[in-house]
This record gives sequence, structure tokens and C-alpha cells, in this order.
Amino acid sequence: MSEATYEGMPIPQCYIDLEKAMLSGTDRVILYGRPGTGKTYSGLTVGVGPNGSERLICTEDMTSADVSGAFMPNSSGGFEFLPGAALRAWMRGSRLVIDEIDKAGGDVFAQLLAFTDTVDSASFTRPDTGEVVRPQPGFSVVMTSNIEDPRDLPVALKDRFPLTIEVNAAHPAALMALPESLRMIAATMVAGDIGQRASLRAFYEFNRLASGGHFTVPEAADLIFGKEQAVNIVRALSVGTLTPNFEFTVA
Amino acid sequence: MSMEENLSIPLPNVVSSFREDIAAAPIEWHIEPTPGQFGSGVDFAAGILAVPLTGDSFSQRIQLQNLVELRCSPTDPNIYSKMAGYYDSQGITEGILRAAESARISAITEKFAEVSGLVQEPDGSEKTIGKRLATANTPQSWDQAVEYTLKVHNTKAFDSFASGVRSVNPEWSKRLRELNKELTSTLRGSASQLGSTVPTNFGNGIEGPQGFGNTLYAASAVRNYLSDAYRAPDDMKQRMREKEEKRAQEYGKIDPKDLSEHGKLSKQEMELEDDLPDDFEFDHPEDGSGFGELRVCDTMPLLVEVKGYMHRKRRAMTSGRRIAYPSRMLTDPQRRVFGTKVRVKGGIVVIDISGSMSLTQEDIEAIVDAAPAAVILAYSDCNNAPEPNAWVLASRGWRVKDIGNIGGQNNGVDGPALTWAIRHRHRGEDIVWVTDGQVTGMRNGYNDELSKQCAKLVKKHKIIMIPSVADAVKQFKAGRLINRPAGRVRDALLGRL
Repeated sequence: MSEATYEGMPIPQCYIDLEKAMLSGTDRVILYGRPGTGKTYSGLTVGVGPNGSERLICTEDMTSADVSGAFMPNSSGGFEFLPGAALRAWMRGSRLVIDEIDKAGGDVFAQLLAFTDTVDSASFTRPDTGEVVRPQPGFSVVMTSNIEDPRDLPVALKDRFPLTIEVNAAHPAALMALPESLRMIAATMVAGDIGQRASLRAFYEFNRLASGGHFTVPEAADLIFGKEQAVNIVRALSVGTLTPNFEFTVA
Repeated sequence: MSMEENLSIPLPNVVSSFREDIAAAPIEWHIEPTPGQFGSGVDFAAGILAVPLTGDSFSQRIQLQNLVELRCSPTDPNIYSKMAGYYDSQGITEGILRAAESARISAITEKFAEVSGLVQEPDGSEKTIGKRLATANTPQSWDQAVEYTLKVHNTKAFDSFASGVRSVNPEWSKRLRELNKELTSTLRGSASQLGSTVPTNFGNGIEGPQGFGNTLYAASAVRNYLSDAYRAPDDMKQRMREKEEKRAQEYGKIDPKDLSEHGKLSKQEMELEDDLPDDFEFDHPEDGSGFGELRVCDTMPLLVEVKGYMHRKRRAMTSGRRIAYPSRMLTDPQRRVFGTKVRVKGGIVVIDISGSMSLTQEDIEAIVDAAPAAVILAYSDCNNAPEPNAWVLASRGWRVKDIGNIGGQNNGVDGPALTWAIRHRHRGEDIVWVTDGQVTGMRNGYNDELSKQCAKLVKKHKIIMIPSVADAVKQFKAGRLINRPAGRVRDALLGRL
């Protein structure tokens, strides 16, 4: 069986599963797993239709206005109802990506459950026009969470999202943004065990610092990864490339 | 700060991913912590990197060395035995290759250690080790000194070691410094040159990483300095020669005491197998690859009686089967009335008279004068069948008057001449084979198998080999025959073929 690849790099199984699920018509998925693997990136790009995507980042302080919408002052001195991210996604039939659902407060969580309910049960009456809005064809939801065990998800959420996929590796497309010599170490450390783990964002920043000309590779590694991890990263890169004074070759 | 916080966990999967030779089948590495250096190493088959995980510089140096090995060394553990088999004729053993590979890894490691401040400083033991080995002054200790040089070449540790050796034996120190210079020059390339893992064919179907070629060069350099090689100190070479001579005289038998005389870099000595039946005879393949058929001319006129055979002396004895001196009953206080014939020296003397040897009438006379009961068979095939290719020149008290013009360039029948001698020997009689040991088949080409078979016959029947007719004459005159194998048969007896 041939292995699926992207630009010559093998595609991790979780992304293959996600792609196949989307092709099969799934419109409710939870992507969970360690931070910095590219869950949000995948939600925003994999299987997205022509109507694009909306992103909602959950925090403890957010209100339902971020989800459904709120009256806001307009330029003419009056008030105007501005739909929230979830309502916009309904109206356009686009992808709604909800980040860190587990961080949302009780009210917001309840409203998100309503917005992510099955199409037949879901409806929202606009307060400005009284129009009853329902999800348009093409609407789909991808939720992301940094929990590492799917059993930690609320039961109601699991009921609405029976498909949960653990994203435990970086997508090759995300790795391609790094110099070739950094791709393997980034892929390994993103998927690494606790203590040997680093996020993709850390590698993007490391690349920026180390190739900017103001820091040496060890200095940049110290700043980004901390002294102990930096020693092993720099050693792995220099021994791996057989270059005692390792420097980046920018892709 | 807890111990866990101090742990430094290497990234073997990252390092390994840069190898060009395992891209198709990456190794999934697991780390096994070790207490310091003990038990550390790389197991390619099991995918285990065993290293200390503590953050001190000593442990970090061990981690670095093992990561370099994981990055550069051959993944196939059998490459050493395969390569040793391929370069066997050059004396390169598996032990030398492993030590040379370790030196290559150290050379690469040193380049990284310089950058990361992990250069290994002498710990003070080097000088003592040098003194100890030089004081032992044995081939084994010399080989150990060579191995140690390989391990610490081009470092301050070597300087300290060499200075310890010099305080006891300046010649050893001089040779070791030469070796250090040669190794430093051989392994002076960049890390990427020395450690390349681009798949390379080393001949005979042996595949390995390109950088392993440097290991071969280092192994060749080291080989020349071992105790039996030409760049070893003179006293070591002399001792090795004497030891080898003694072993050859004893048909290649290995004295268990001698085993400890060899360092682990030397080739393991093998005894020749004794697997020939008592009535072994050689085949004569039609393609001429084997020995020819022996055609003995036993009709040469043996007209000259050898003095001392027919009229043998008798010795009076106090016991016996035949009374020879009845008068001694009255005249001899010990009453030695029985008589027994004094044993006359003899033996079967097989002489190679091919182009590389020579035989004169005087030689025959000298031999039979010293051993009147000798049977002398000279052989050399002239490729002129059905004419004879072996001639009986003397037989138990009689010899030829003139050997005439016999023999030619080719050996051709060495083995059958030996089996002829074995068949014709009397009980307890010596067989002497005068030969330079360069046995050949009918095509006059060297053939290891024929040499081995002759060596097995020599060993089985305790045949005494003497390298030249002149030596044989001397030994017969001296009355003491010493086995001195030569040529390919000697190599076979010493297990080198």
C-alpha cells in the first residue's frame, strides 16, 4: 500500500481521516490534541466549501454576542444588529471553526450547543427583522480543543459531535513553511512526548530569530525552547546535518 | 532542583532522519537511560539508543558520541564480518574494522565537541596506561597500545599516553606517534565527508554508508602497525616471527598459552582441520586443476651399496631372542650373550626437483651416508606422459650411481608423491619432504585447496618438511631433523589459506 504524501513528506493518518470524513459529507467534527499541531489550520482549510470559514475563539469572558450577534452603534448614530460568527456561518453556509470550546462559559456554551445542533432542530430569530434563520446548505462545524483525552469532553458536545479525531502530528503543508533542515525536527517534536514537545509556532519563531541575522542558532534556540531543550535541538540539528556550526539554509 | 529537571533527552529520531541510507525504512528509536558510560551504545537492529541522560559534561560527551554513531555508522552489524572476509588477504580483521570505525566516530565527534565545549581532556590515566603497556613489552601489549592510539588519536590524551610509553620504550613511542600522524591525516576530512551515509557499494555486493570508506583507510593504516606487521617495533616483529616459526614446526598447533599473546585486533589463529581419511588418495581431474597421476620409475639401477646398511653393527645385550656371543658367558661380567642389530638411520625422503628446487648426485650421497636405510623419491612432472614423473634414487642400502637428467619445471605430483611415501613407510619411520612448499597442480598453477590437502597430510602423518636439499643434507648430517615448513603449505598449516 503506497503512503499518501505531500511534497514528498508522508501525511499523518489523522489528516487522511479528516479529509476522508469531509469527503464523506460529515459536517460536525471535533479535533482535539496537544497544542500547536495545526488543528485550527486544518479546520479552516480541509474540506472548506466555496463560502469560506468563520472562526470563533472561546474564552471565559466572551459573551453570546460573539456567537449570535448584538446591536452595535452605527455611523448614522443609531443601532444596528451585527450577526456573530456562528450566525454568519449559518447565513452564508460556510465552515464555523470554534477554537477551545472547553474554555467557553456556561451561557455561551449553551448557545454554541444550539448553533451546532442538527439542521432540523436549529433555528434563530433575528431580533432586528424577526426573520427565522436556519443553517444554509454547506454549513459545517469544526471544533478544536487542547484536551488530550476525548473522555474529558462534555457529554452534550460529544452527542452533537460523534466524530472526534486526535490531531497528534503536524500537517506537511504547515511544515513546508520551515527550512528543510527544520522540518523533520519540527514534525518529531510536535508529535513528541511531554518534555520533548514543542509547537509548530515555536519552530516558526525559532526560524525567524535564527535566520534574521541577529541571533545565532543556539541563542535563538535558548530563547524559544529554553536552555535544556535548546541543547538537544541544536545538537540534533548539527549532528543530523553533519555541520558542527549549524546554520539555517532558508527554504 | 530535582533530578528530573536536569535530564537531557536527545532526539535520535531527528538525527536518524537525516541519514540517506534508511530513508525507505526509517528506524523508530527508543532511548534507554544508562548509568554513565557503562552500557551505553547504539543498537540499530532494536532501534535503541542507550545513553546517560544527566546533564553533566561527561554524560553529554557520551550522548554526543553515540548520536554521531547513530548518524554515521553502518546499520548492518554484519558489514564488519563481510568486509573482513573481503579484505582477509590484506590482514584486515573484524576487530581492526570495529576499532577503526570507533576512531572515525571519535574523529567526527571531536569536531562537534570543539564547538560545544565537550572536548575530552586527559584524565591523568593515559600516561600510566602508556607506561604499563610499554613495560609489559609483549606483542599483546603492543597491539593494545596500537588500539589505544586508535581510540585517542589526535587528542591531548594521546600526547600524554605517548609520553608514558616513551619513558619506558622510546622506539614504541616513535612508532605510535607515526601511527597517530597517519590516522590524523586519514581522518582529517570534514564531518560531512567522514560521516556521509550515501549508500555505497564497497565491492563483492557489500553495501554501506559512503563515510565507512574512511574506516577502511584507517583500518589499513592500523594493520601495518600490528605486532606481526612491517611497521611494528623490531623486537615485536622478531618475537612474532619466532613464535610463528615454533608454531609452524609443530604443524600449526596452537599453544593455549600463546592465545593470550594476541591482541584482539589480530586475526584469530586457526588450526588446520584433520579430516582426511587414513587411506586418502588424490583425485586426478581431467581439467588439470588437480595433481597428476604419479608414475614412479623404480627401475633405475641402484648399483652402489651404501656403507653401514648391509653390515650393520650388533650390540651385546643381557636379554634377547638370539644368542650371538656365547663366549661372553665367561668373559663378560654382565654376561651379555644376546645380540641385537643396531638400528640404522633411514626414512623416506621425498624430494621436489621442480624448477624452483635442485638436486645433485652429491646431495643423494650425502643423504644416504647420513641415513643409509633411506628411500629417496624425487619427483617433478614434465608433462610428458607416459614417461615417469618420479624416480626412486635410493632404497634401503642401495643408491644410484648417477641420477642423470631427471625432472623438469613443474611440480604437478606433490600430493601423490606424499601418499606414495605414506604407503611405503615402515612403522615408526620418518617421512622427510624436501620442498619449498609451493605445490602446484598439473597446470602448474597455485591452488589453495591442493596446498591445504598437502598440509593436512603433513600434519596427519607428521611429515618433516625441509625447505631445500642443502638444508636437508645438513640436517641429515647433524642427525636431527627439524620440521621447517615453507611456502603455501606453511600458510595452510598456520590456518592462513
